[in-house]
Amino acid sequence: MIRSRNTVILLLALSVCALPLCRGEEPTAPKWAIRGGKVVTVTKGTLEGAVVLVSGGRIEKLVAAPGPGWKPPAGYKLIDAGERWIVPGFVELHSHIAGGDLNDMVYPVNPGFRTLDNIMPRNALLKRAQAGGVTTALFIPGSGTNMGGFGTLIKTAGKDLSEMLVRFPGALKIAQGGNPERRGGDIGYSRLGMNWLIRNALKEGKLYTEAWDAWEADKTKKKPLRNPRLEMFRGLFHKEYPVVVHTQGYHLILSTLRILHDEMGLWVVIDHGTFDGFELASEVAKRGIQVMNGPREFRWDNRRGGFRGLAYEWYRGGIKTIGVNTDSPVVPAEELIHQASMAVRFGLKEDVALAGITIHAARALGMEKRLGSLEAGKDADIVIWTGDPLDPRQSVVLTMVNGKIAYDTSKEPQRF
Amino acid sequence: MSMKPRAFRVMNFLAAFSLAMFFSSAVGSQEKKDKEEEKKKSSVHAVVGATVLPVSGPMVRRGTVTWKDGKILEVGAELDPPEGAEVHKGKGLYVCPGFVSVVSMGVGIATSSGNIRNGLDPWDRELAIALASGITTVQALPAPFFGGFGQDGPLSGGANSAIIKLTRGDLGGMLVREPAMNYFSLPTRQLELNYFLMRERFNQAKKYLAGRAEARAKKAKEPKLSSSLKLYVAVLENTRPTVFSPANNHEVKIVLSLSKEYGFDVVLNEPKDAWMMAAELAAGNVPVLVKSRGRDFDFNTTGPVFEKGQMAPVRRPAAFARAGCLVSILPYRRGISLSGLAGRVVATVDVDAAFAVRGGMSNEDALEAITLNPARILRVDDRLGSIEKGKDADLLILSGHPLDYRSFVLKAFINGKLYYERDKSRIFREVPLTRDK
Repeated sequence: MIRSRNTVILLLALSVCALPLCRGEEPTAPKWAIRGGKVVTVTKGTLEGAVVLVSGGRIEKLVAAPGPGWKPPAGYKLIDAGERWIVPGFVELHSHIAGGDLNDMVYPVNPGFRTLDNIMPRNALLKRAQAGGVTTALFIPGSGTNMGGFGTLIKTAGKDLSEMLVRFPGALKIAQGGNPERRGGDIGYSRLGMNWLIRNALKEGKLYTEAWDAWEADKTKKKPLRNPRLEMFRGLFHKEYPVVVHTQGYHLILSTLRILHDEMGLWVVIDHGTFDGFELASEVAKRGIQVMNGPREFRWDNRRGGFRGLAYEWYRGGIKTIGVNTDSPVVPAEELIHQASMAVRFGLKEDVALAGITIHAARALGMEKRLGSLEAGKDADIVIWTGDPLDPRQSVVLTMVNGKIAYDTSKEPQRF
Repeated sequence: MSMKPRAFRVMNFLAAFSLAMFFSSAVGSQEKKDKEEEKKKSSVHAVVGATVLPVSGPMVRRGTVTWKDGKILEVGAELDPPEGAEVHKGKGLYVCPGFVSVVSMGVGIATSSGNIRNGLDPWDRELAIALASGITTVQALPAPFFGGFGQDGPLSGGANSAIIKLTRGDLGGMLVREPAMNYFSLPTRQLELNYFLMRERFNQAKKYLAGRAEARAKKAKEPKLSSSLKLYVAVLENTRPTVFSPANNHEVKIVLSLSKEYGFDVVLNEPKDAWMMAAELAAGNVPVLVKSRGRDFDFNTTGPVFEKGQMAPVRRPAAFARAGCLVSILPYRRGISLSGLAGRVVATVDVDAAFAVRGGMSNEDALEAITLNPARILRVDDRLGSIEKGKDADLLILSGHPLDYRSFVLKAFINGKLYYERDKSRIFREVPLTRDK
């Protein structure tokens, strides 16, 4: 008797505990009708006075010519942006700010490392990134070692990691030269050693992938041994996610093309591409490799005694999808658009610069169906600007991530 | 064989003669060329049909600016250029005063110690880049030994400084004044003791000045000035303002009280949270040098978000200006780096002014904060910082509004002479003027 009564009490207590959990769950995401002066879709031109309808965290549709008497459908809250611009959230391909601790420099290659466990949602630097219109960031390990580990693609806002997470693994980080030389003395001190280390690790991952592919296709009777350290290489060699490469300058990019693309057949994104790297633009373009140039945006050409705009030179050389990055915090995350503005200052066309940090950046990660433009069905990552985002005099008024308002200057001070 | 010596003599004579002719003609033509050049340079100039932003007054559409012998003659709408003037095309273009960089390190000087006048370098590459970006005057400080990206060393006490014009290739036009300002470091540790010692020195300096005045009145021998008092005496003499870099508002209060007690003018360099007391600074006529962008390379995920109770750097210049302070916008970094990080050096102070507009300043105030205000703070506003009759003809012809990030300087004049022309310079040759390709 006593025992059963206890059970009833326990059950009651449990149900009481469970109540707040049920209540805590989000009701259906709010529905928005956002009306602006200019709606920059990026992929389908710029629409004057259009309306973006948002429901369920996604863009439901665009109303191109709403007319003066237009009213939002029932259940939609109107955000009237007046003459302001509505722009898709920016996609950053080189970010280190989601949680710090990025360079574990004991082993030179670390395919087992991942940034997923380090992410600190709602941290100060991510909040500042929202104020620069950045809604998605690839949070990758540093370049202290040749293979820093696997990065995570996240949104810059969300109540917890599950809400922020876009994809894991987002990409593998490889650093081919420059920073990994800092360790000095061990193997990997020179590029001979580094190239061997990278090639060796990738070859191991490739053989592992092939062994499992053969097993899964019933081509072998010998089941391979599981190796957690190599497990994430399978997705890499199946091109489910790219390798983002810390590679810059003619010399290094040559080895990127040879080892990572031509030999290993990987999906490669060049994630610096600075100094005289643009001299290889035609070779890079031939292979369909995306370049996210930065954080250096110009090169002082000693031979010609003048500036060269790096993004402009890549574009001129054949990379029509050129984008920029911040390598934040090298350049603060909120200044991604400033990097694009500087690309324009040094010669790039405005629309190319904007596409480079929206749709082309999304495509570089294979996320073009969800991110990078204002189109029906895409994530509602929408930013309202006071005017042309490329003009440093204009600022963000409101940032919406997954259909939820993350930053709103009508309710809080301007962060950037 | 017999012909050879004679032929040799003849050839010798011919060679000497032609050499002499060559030299005399070369020297003659050089002199003539110099004179012509000088005549051309000192002649009357006019830019016609431009949108003129004089800074000291309202914008003039279809404006004309004329200058002669290095000084501005006239500014106005639809004026005809004076007869014989060299006319510069202004239609569709903008004209504004050359930017004044209130603090810079290593620009135009090739020295890290000693007097700056002895280390002026008119061929300095960083000078050429700053000029091509529209800066015509800087307060130059020596570059720090370890500068990093953009030579951003601290403004340490007793630093040498000079106001120099960026007259490329022309040493004579450079020096405006040395020293430009006094630099004073507040103690950072053992505060009780060091503040006491600091006041003691100010008292001694006061005593020294009194003694010196007395000696001068009596035409007696002046008292000896010890080297440890030199800076304190310079501060109290107040012939130029003294720059403090307060770390917090407590230090701002100390600086204000020192300034009141000993009667000298102060300038606050990057006063961290002093926007909270901007009204007090405005009431005390204390100018501020502020950045419009925050610290870079910040891994601190628990750092400021600039939410309630904090103020984002981008809003600070506007906050000071609204309170009535004299504001000069600092460049993101005090030097010029060619590392490749764009829009964050002394040459791109226009970008920092544009960021101040983002934070709530008007275009006019932001332009003033990189032209006339720094000239006022450096006490050279009788000559520099705006396009007004009688002032130095230091002006820019730009392809667009000076705060538009896409604008290029097409021509830069200093002391009325053309020192930079985009079409003839290599600096931006590889960057297209219009981006329609």
